[in-house]
Amino acid sequence: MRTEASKDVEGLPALESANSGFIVHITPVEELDDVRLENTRGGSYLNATQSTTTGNRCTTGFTMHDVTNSNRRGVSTAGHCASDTPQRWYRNHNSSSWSAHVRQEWHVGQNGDIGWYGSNNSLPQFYASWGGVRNVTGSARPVVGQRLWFFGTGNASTGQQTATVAANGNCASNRCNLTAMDSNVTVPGDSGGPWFSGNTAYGVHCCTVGSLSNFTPVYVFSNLWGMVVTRA
Amino acid sequence: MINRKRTWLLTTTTVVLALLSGCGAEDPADEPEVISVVEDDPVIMVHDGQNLAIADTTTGGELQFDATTGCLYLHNPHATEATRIGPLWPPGTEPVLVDGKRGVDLPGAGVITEGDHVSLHGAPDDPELYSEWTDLFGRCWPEQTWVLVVGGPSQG
Repeated sequence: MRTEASKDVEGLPALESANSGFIVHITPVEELDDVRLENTRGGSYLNATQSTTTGNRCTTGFTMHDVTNSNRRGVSTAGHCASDTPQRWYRNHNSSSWSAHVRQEWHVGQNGDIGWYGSNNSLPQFYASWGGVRNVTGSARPVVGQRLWFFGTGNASTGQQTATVAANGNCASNRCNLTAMDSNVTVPGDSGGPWFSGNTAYGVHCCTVGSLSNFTPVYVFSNLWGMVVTRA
Repeated sequence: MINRKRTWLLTTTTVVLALLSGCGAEDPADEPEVISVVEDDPVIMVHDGQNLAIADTTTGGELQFDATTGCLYLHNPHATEATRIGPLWPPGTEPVLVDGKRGVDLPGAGVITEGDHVSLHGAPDDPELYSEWTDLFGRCWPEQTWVLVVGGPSQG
């Protein structure tokens, strides 16, 4: 349980400090953090159940934080992964341990398809391939013609993928601000996964539109919620 | 035995919208047929595979038949909100009637009928995202039904 000081709560007695004379109200808060024991990274499992093969499956994108509020930190994913799933289960590669994470914010609409789940143990890293941890050192906007790489947990038999940016500002199903790639390199379970080049973060995977993979650029997190990619 | 009825497209999104709006100035023939209604038993809706976003995740549930509307839907009792989901099937999907059970012949998966538990490529979306098709969806699903753009069977 987490305790939060200095708040009045109806029905709870105030605790008086014998030494200071201050009255401190201890508020029992439903603990959302005590199950966040896993060190979280991008490119990991973020599933609705504790299974890597069944149920509603997604992937984490990059770890993120709010530059003005250190309490706001976690892992990004696609908005449609969060829209009907208030809690998801995270698991690192080569691990058997799952940790529960609670949805913080999500958006599916004119700005893209993004969301994030809380994590107090987020590392500035992502999986660029199965078991291949890579540091994040920066983020950038995708440019048409640029080659990018992708990793998702959707299919255990496929690894890192690559494609070229075909267009920015794509819209489909009233999701806009999407970057469309020139081919379809993604499968079910890849939603939310990281698009990157080297150590630079570019976007989180959304969907397939007309047989082309599409993602939302990471700068949208900053525009909407003040969340930025956590760097090493 | 499969009694696959001959299907035909009675309406398209653009035609329905044009009729409901009193036939506006735009020529429906110029509009892409993004979603089509296949009026058969059961009634199904099919997307064009080009213009809608297919979320790269998986959605599971039990295929069910609504005798009132004559349409199929997906029931997911484990979902928080999206317990009733209206599927927009991929191109090539056909309605089927198998031993009295309604279902679809889904490319890549074969025949699935009411009562079957399925895992599909796609994610349920809030119906507000598809507000331009609200009237069309009213043929099959009440407003609180979430919308699933199906890419096919879930694989991997």
